[in-house]
Amino acid sequence: MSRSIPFLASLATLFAASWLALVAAPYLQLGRLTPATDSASGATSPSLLSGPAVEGQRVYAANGCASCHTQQIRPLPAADLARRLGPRPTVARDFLREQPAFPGNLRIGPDLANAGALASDPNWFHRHLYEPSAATPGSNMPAYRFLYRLRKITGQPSPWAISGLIGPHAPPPGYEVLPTAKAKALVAYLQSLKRDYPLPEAATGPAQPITP
Amino acid sequence: MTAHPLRLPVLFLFAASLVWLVFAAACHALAGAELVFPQLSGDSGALTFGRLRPAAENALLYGFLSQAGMGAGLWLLARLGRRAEKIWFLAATTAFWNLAVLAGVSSIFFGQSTGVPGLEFPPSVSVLMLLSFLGFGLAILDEILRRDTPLYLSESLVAGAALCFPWLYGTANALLIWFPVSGAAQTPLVGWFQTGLLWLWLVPLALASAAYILPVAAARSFRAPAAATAALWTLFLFGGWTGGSHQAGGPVPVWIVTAGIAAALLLPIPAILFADNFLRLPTSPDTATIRLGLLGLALAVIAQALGPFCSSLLRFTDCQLAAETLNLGSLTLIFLGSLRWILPRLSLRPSPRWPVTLAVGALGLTILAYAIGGLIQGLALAQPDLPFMVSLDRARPFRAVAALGRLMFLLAVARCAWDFARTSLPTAQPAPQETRA
Repeated sequence: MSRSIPFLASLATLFAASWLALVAAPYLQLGRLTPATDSASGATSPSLLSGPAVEGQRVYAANGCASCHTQQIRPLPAADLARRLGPRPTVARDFLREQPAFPGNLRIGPDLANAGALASDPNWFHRHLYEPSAATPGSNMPAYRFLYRLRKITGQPSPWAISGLIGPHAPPPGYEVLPTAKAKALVAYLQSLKRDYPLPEAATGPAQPITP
Repeated sequence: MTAHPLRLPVLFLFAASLVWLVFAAACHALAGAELVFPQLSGDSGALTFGRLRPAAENALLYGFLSQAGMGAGLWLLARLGRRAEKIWFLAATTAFWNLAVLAGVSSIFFGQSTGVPGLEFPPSVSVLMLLSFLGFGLAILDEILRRDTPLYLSESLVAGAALCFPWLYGTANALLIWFPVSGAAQTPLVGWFQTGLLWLWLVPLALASAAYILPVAAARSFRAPAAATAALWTLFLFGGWTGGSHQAGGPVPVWIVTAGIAAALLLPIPAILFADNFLRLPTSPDTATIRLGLLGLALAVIAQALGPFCSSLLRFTDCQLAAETLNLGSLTLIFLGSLRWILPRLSLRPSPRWPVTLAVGALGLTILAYAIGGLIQGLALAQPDLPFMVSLDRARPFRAVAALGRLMFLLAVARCAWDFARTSLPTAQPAPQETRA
């Protein structure tokens, strides 16, 4: 028998130990989590994503939004709660509907765990994606104009046209900017990010306004 | 002196790895500049920071570091086992590895990324990656299973890395990409994969090169072989458990964070044991780059151990970029130093003249700028009354300096690749002194 076999077997045992502890055990502990049910209303949290939001999740992944944005609010002593990024810390169950989960590891841009609370109007998100520095002065986000198309207005303006665009890339008179299907999906996903529902494992503080 | 039997396949691996290094450095330079001037991406989706950064990371991880490590590993195994002619054809199959990396990086640019850090390649590409790894994996297995003498330390490190990589990459892809588990269970898995890829795949490959080259260059053997063996085992023991160390306060079970922090605190043990052996060897100018890389790796171990204690202040800040640059930059230096040492022995040409000082200075500048900027950013974010934009404004000047460092690093590695093409490729003109020889 080769003298290398005991070496390889020992090494495999070491690796298997970390595999069992950090892959198999978390899967058993977290992989079977289900949405929490509110005993009074019967509602489940987190709720399922809409079809466009599921597609928007793919757009979010494909464009590497998680390279700059986190989606996790940390408990004390981190300042996330004091900065009013959301009413409670993010827990594993919050990612039940996410595929994949986007906890993120850099805040080059603001945390998006509660992005849906930033604005109820999809137009705000479209304006920000089309020309971030014009919509949010000082923003260092790149423009996602490739998710939009400029179109000459013929007849009635489209109900999807983005309003309130300013800056050098605002459409000239007689033209309008329309979101593509990907832009609509991305905005649907961003608007779905509202982690203000109660969960048994995460205490929710008093409701507070969310600031970017 | 005759040409080494592994010359062509290993030269191919090294040539391809250097191309990927230049590509990754170019993407990093542009991405670094976009942190200061976001309008640089223009109207192109492919050039946005969100696609450039994962493209650069994947090109560096799989295109340069993995490939240079595989090339160096095959070469040293062939040297120590003296059976090079038996395995070169297996090494050649790793050409497919490059096709997979090319397809994967292109997919990221074309907006097909999976969005999982380190696993951005689409499912079909990750299958191709694993299949192409077979060439390297089987070559290693074939070599060490036939051995009837104890393995050298460098061989053991390569064998350990070759065992861990398919297990790591296969498991992570299976559970996160091919048949994804619930989103609730994904965060600890990603942490396990990212730290495993570093400490169980790339670091053992880099240490294998160092453990072969440093004693040979010094014409001495290790003074404490028992400590070196202990270093090997403790590296593989603790390296696999560090996944939770940087997830404090995150959506993962607390026991995973605790285990990760404990492993990160124990990781200096193998580092000290390796250093004990490396530092006792006489120094040689030929191995200065490798030694600088090892010093960087030692700093990375310290950063990994201290990181959890500064987590609430520094996590999510540019200190994360500093840590990544320290980890991968140190490995890059070790592999560049290894290539520089191996190439003349493969191609029978003089050692390439590489601007190592520029590369080290560039990495140092980048790391320092991101670290200081990250600290200032973290202090701003810790003050609830300061708007988020203030943290960006305060970090911006340091990001500009880091971008300059990235650009300098691009120039350094582009010069390395050019010099390699000029002097080491089979079609290169022989140097005058070789003609005389």
